[in-house]
Amino acid sequence: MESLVLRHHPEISRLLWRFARNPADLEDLVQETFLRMVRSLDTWRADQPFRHWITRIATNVGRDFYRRQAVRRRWATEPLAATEGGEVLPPEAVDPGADPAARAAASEFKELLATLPADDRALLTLHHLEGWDLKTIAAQFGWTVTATKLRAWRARNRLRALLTETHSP
Amino acid sequence: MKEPQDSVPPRWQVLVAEARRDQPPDLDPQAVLRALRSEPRERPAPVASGWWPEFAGLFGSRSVFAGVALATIAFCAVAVWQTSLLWDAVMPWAELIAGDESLFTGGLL
Repeated sequence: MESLVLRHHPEISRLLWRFARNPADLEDLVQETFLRMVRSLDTWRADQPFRHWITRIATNVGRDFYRRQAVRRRWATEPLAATEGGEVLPPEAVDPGADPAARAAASEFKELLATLPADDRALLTLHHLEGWDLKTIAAQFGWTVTATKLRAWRARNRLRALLTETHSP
Repeated sequence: MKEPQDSVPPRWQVLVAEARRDQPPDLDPQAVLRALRSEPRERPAPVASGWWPEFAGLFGSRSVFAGVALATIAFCAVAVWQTSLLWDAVMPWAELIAGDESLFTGGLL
């Protein structure tokens, strides 16, 4: 078990960082992924690569995280730097990372996506930030490829409108 | 459907390119391991459904239930077989005592 965690931890952290807004969220998401892995180890089939299986668990954890956020967002306007528990972090608590420009861009990207439905956010996150093709995403989430393309198209249209609105002179 | 990559403003493409460079903060995998160790090893038994729960309290396990069921079927089969033997043994005497051979056979013989 320990070797499984140590082997997959860096990759899972990197993937879930695309969904998380701060290190506290990331830690929760990574932990949840490995807990789900342990709880459902008996459903893993030896004929499928373990890496694919755990990646699927991680993307579902990310998608559930977005869904929980969407539910909370319906009840209250939530600032970007808040933890999942609702605790608001001061701006200096958010680590600028090794590349502050990239961290700022990632924050802006996530903020823009936060206006979309949870599944659309997950789709665009994986497609744009992780570079997954739509066919892979469709297989991950159990959607048809056509539905995935349509969903991506609609989500990008909404984003285009938002960006035009935000950055128009 | 063609992916409308060019339908998003250039600002979006720049943003995505920059955001992709962002690396996660370093997390200690030991925190995950500690959480896994504190996770209870025994999972709660799944809630059974269907006819079995009715019998589970009586027999404890399915194999015990199957054994008892087989023994019951075997006992009934032997009982029926023995009853027919008994019937054959008793009937002639009953008819003799009654003095009427068709009393118990209904005149079929």
